[in-house]
Amino acid sequence: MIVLKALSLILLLVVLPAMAGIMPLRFFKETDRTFGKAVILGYIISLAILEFVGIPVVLLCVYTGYVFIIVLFLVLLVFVAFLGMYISYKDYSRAVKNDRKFFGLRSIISEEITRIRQSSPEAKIYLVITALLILFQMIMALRLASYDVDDAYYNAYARTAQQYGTLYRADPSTGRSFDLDMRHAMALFPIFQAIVSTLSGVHLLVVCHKIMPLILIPLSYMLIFEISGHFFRDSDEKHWLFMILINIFRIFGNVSEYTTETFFFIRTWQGKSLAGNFIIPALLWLFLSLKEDRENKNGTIYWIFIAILILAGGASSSLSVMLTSAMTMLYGVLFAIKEKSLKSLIRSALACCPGALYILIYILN
Amino acid sequence: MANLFITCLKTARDFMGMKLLLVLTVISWIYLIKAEKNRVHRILFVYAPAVVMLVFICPLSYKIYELTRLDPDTYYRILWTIPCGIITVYGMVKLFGDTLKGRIIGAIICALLIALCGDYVYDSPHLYRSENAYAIPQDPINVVDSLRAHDDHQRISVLVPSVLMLYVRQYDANINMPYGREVYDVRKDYTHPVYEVFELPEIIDLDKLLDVTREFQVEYIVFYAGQKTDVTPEEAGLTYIDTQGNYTIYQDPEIAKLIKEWEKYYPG
Repeated sequence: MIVLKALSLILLLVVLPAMAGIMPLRFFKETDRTFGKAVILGYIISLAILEFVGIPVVLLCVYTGYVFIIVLFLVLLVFVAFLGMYISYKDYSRAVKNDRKFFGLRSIISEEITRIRQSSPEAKIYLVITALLILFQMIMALRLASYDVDDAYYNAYARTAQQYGTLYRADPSTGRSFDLDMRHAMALFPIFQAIVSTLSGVHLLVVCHKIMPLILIPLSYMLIFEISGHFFRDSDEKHWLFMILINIFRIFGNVSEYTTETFFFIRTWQGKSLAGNFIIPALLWLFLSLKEDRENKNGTIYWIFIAILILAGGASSSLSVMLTSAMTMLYGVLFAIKEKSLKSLIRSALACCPGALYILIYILN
Repeated sequence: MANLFITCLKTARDFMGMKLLLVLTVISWIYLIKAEKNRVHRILFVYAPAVVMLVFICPLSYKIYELTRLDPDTYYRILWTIPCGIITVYGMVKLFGDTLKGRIIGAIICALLIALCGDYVYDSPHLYRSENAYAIPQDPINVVDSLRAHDDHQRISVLVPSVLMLYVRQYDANINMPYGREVYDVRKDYTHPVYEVFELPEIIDLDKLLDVTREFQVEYIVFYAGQKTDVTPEEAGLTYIDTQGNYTIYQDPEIAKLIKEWEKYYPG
């Protein structure tokens, strides 16, 4: 039974998102296709799907919203995941025919292993130190607990969804029915955790407090690794040193209860932490990739992903949508000034459309 | 406007805490102004953070933030859009030389600086040794399990002391409570009739308590060992169910009877 639960957790939290992320990865240049990117893109897609199917369900379904959201989310996620695998398989057939490298999860992972093997002994030592530091944080997440007051809200909402079947229509403190709580209703990350808990059969609190940190901590570092890859393209050693120091910065980043670093460790599973440690850095990464990918001059895929990311951010918190939209516009303005062209600004405004729609629904309700 | 400006500055100060870690960020940022030649990096890690900071301390932004129905207490989250960790470490690593010795010495010095200027997160008073896989205290789990062993109704209504209140519905949302964490929100003038009788007095008047709990159809009352009552719960008509550590569970037979009657109309 435990093995089955563990396997379903791996399937839901690692395999499906990675499979979903494989499809957009084909638009990245060959040297940029990494397993980390597949998982990051997969999570962005998964959260966007959650918001895409979840918001109408929350607004329209009064009694059976939870069942609807599970079915719709799962069907769409599995569809995207298998589409990714299908494309990868097609590419494999073509690759065999033309005797060229094929594109798929297995080849990406094996290429990464080769890349590590080829790196200098110094870089390998830094890699091991980085891995140990991340492992340390994951072990601490398992050993420690933080009794955060907001859990009484978010976790109770998720547990209520599981046990009542309704979404954000019962007071999380008392259990009594009430009008839709629009302030929280569109931020569906707690419901994502409830879905994972329901499908795996693991209690929601175990999923939130013990399983999610094991996923979100490495996921956040994968993202930082991708961002720092843009800084140190010609020095593996400096790249890994950056990773060591960023780990240390986070571990010692508890200078106040407001920093993203504090949220990263004390409230890892909450949407706010996801916003500060995944969604907002992911926006930076997408802009870096957009502006530094010389093969993909139009950058359409990146702009699409910025739009998807803004929507995905809605799962973490409504504020996240506002912040990522505002930052997208700010970057758009700054790049428009630098490039002396309005292109970036117009594309930024277009990428903000899902966010604008989200905010409109939020305000009108 | 001047007041709002001071509020913005205070928020920034509270965000930085009383440590010097974010001063390292400022130093790194200043270094990047001079050293960063890549235009994309300059925009994302030098210019954009500066604009965000200017917007943040502008009183008008605070006013707009309030007007968009966002909680002003979360205004500090605008600062999350400045990637402090990335800026700090990027500036540091950029400083390292290209020799092995330069990198190692640089890394050791920077790691020490970060550790000295920062605050070790695992020393936080908000972190405790996990008592169980659920990562909540064991007492609420024991109390809920005991209630569940005694009552197989899908939903039950329970009054618990404040120390348990936050965890009960996270563990089992089929347990209803008369009030929740809102009563502790000092910013709101929220209170609850059951809370006023159960939590505030030094000695609980059980007659008064039962008057209000019956109004809210509370079937079970959990007392903490330290809570004093004017008469014993049994004398007030409550039925003893179980004791779990410092918590004693009682059932109100009047509400139990009422629920039995409801079952005729709403079976299950």
